[in-house]
Amino acid sequence: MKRRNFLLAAGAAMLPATTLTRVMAETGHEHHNEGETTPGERTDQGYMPVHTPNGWTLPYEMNNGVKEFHLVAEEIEHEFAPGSVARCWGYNGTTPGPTIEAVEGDKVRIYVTNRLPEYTSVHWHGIHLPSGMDGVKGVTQPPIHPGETFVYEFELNQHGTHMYHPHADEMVQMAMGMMGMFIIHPKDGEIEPVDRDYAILLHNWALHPGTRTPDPSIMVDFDLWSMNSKVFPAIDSLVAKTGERVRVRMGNLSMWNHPMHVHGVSFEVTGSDGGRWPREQWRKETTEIVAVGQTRDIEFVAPPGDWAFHCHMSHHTMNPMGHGIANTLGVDQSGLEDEIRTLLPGYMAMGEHGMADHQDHTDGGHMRGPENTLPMGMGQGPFGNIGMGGMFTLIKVRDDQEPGDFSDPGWYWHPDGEVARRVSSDPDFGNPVRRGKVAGADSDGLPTPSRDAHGGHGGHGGHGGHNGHEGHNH
Amino acid sequence: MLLPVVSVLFLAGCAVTAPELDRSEMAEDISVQGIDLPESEMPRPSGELTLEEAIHQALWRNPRMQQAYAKLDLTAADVVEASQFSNPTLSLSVMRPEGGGGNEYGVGLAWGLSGLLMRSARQDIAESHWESTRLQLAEGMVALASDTERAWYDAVAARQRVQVQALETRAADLGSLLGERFYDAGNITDLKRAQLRIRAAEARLKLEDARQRERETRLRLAHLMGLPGEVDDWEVPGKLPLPLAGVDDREALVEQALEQRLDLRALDHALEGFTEGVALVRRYRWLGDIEPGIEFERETDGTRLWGGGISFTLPIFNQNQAGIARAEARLEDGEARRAQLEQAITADVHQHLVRLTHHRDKFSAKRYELLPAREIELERMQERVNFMFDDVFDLLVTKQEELADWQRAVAALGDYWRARVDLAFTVAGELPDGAPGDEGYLETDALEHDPSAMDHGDHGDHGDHGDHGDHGDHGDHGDHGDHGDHGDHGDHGDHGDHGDHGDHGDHGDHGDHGDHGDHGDHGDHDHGDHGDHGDDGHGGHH
Repeated sequence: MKRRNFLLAAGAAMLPATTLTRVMAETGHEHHNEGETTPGERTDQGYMPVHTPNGWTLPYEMNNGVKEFHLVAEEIEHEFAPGSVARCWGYNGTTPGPTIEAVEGDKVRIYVTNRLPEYTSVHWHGIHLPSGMDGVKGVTQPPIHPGETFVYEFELNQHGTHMYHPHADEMVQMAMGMMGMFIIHPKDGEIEPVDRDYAILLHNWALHPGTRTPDPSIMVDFDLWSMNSKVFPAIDSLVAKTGERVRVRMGNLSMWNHPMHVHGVSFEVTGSDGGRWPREQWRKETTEIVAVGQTRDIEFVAPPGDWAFHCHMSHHTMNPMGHGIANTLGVDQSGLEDEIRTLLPGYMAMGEHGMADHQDHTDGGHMRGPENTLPMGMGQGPFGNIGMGGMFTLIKVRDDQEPGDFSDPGWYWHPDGEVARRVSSDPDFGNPVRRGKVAGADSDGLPTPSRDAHGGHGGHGGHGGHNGHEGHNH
Repeated sequence: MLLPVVSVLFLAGCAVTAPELDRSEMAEDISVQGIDLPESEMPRPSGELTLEEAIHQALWRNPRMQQAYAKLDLTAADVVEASQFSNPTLSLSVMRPEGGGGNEYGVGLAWGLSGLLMRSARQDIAESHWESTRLQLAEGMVALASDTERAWYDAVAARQRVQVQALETRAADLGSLLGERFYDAGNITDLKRAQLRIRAAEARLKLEDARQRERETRLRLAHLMGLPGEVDDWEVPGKLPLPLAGVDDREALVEQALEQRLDLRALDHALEGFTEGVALVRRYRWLGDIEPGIEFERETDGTRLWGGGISFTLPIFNQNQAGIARAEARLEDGEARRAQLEQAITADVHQHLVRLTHHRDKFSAKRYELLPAREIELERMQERVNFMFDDVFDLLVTKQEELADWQRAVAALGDYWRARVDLAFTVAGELPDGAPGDEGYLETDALEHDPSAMDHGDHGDHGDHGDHGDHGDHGDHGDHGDHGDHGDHGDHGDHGDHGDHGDHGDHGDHGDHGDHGDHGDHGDHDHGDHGDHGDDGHGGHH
């Protein structure tokens, strides 16, 4: 038995059999990663190929010293996670489109065939090129009409983490998923070589509950927050061997900034679409904001364990949920729940003590949600519900993860004594120092300022003696 | 010399006996119209009151019937009178001669010959009148049965609406009670709490209105059954039957109406007697001012009664030219009135059929399009609440709206049955679309669930929840007064002028139309068609 399978079995032993089956089928963390395998060794040009979790890299052909790529803009069927499928737009069958990878100094020729129902164009975000190759429909080129193929040609004279996306009806086309990463490696090699190089494109989607087509009109209130157009628990784990230097390149083409946080390490922010920065500019962080339209590279040396990697906007690590609904915290619905069920037999009172149990109900299947919609919290781990969604995944570091092996190693086997454990079930345990006012059952809550405190403006009548305006120096 | 006198006196003694009402003939007349005459006194209603029992109670107890029977007895007396001669005049005289001598005594006997000449004709006329009155009595029974049937359906609809309104009110109450809990936890504002309380209070008012409607319909039904105010011991069923198959052969219905309408037959008998009276005038013009009469009187309920008779005087100054002209003109008038009644009946059949179809279609749209969509909406909303896209208050509002539409469906179904009763009355017989209940009933019990049977997800098919109605409240159609009683349909005299059905609108004084409840406030409903209640005017009774 491979160690990872043994670990899986050990972890699984903590779960009931039915849960285990569901975990195996749904979480995507125990059995495999979806991203297309990459070699895990340096190419002839000396770079370590980028690995796109859940995605792939676009192959090219050499033609008289020019790297030729071919993008096809088209409608696709895309699954955000099992249980949520949509008609999206993408490139070459996927969203994001395949990662384009090249080296500083390469000449590239990129054909773009439009199979969409409307015209498009491609903007090479952050890349220096002749103005006419910049891909802004109406400004630098005519539109690529449906059925047409345009060609873009330019020489790469920079390196860094870049992106591509339409610059024609971009509000719709980006909302529908048209985007991809464009990675340019430095021609002179890396000042600090990396062993694993990940590319992740952050995005948001207005796939309203019960619908199958993203809504381009939404500006703020999105339903899905994705890494490479997937949401937890369908996002591939980022894997590494203990001690490997890992780079995660992040691009953001969503409409929110995302403070991306990695557990277990202080990473270094080392680059962007401006290239890999000089070492003096690197800085240590545990959370880095990737603003809209930006790219950021972070690097760290991988410590063993399972480490969460996610946006720190807590609603961005949830799958679809409502906003502005009545707050159920602290609301005792006992007695009324049964009454409501006489009219609404499917009703369940929720949330008096928080939403921690919500996943139990949704996983159990007795609280169905709208069609084609994911519960807000999903995923099972060795210690129970993970209760996450959206921009959340794991960095799994193992001592025995082979170079080039991007498969999911299963759950981490924690050494003895290295897992938080229960020491008491008595709430009065110990003698902790406490301050402030503790809320209790008889707590009055916050004082409500009384309008009468102003002495009742009652009779505005006699302002007479105000002398008010003195001093106004009119 | 003595013989003629004796024979005349003999004949004078041979008055006919009063005609008697043949109950089996009466029963046959009304059974054609789908009504059984109760055979014997019935116990007061208790428990569930069926439609048939309500009609029997009305036919047995309602004073309108006793009044109609009395009128028939009066007419029977006319028949006897018409068969009798007027009594001869006996004169006695004593003459004392001047200059002495014995007194002379004289005895005179005078007796009008005209009575003898016209006895047979007068008797025929009176018998025609009696038959006309008998038919009007039968029609009065049919009208009372029709009014009772309409009132019974109103009571069933009102009861079913109360049932559904109670659930709607519960939804709003629960929203308000939950609001208090949310407020106590510090999670909603006083504004939101007040809004929830308003919603609950409004729903409670609607329930009170629905209960009031129910009370009124019960009182109205009790009144028609001849048991005013006695509403405690019986209960109508709680669900309306579903509509029957469509009725579409309009011409056959018109034909049936013209063939079976008792008021039309009664008018024919009256005109028959009058025609004979006109012939009599012509034949005996030398006798003097013989004047056949046919009377059309307006009753309080807008119907007209007709009656006939004949009177005569001695031809001293004229030969009754004016009487003949008047009689002929009256005959023409009567025939015109008959034509008017026929047209009015035809128009009513058309109108009631249109109305019946409209209510049937409207109910179908509510029950088979609107409510299934509401059910889906509710299920989808529940799913949204499960996943926290919406909250329990949204869910309760959605439920309330669904229940309001159920009430509207009940109201539409009630309208359908009222329209069907009107049409059946107008065509004077049973309709060819089957019997109430053939298509099942509008079920509302499934709207309420057992809270312990938590059935997340598919509520399956609520079947037909019965009736959510909320027609808002029909509120009052303006008090149709009491159609109910076609005022003793006694004799419809001259439907003649229906004027134009066009504007039945004004029910004038239908007497007691039963109870349109209080259609008062059409509030929010789509009753749509009360508007034209005009139609309650049972064809031809205006």
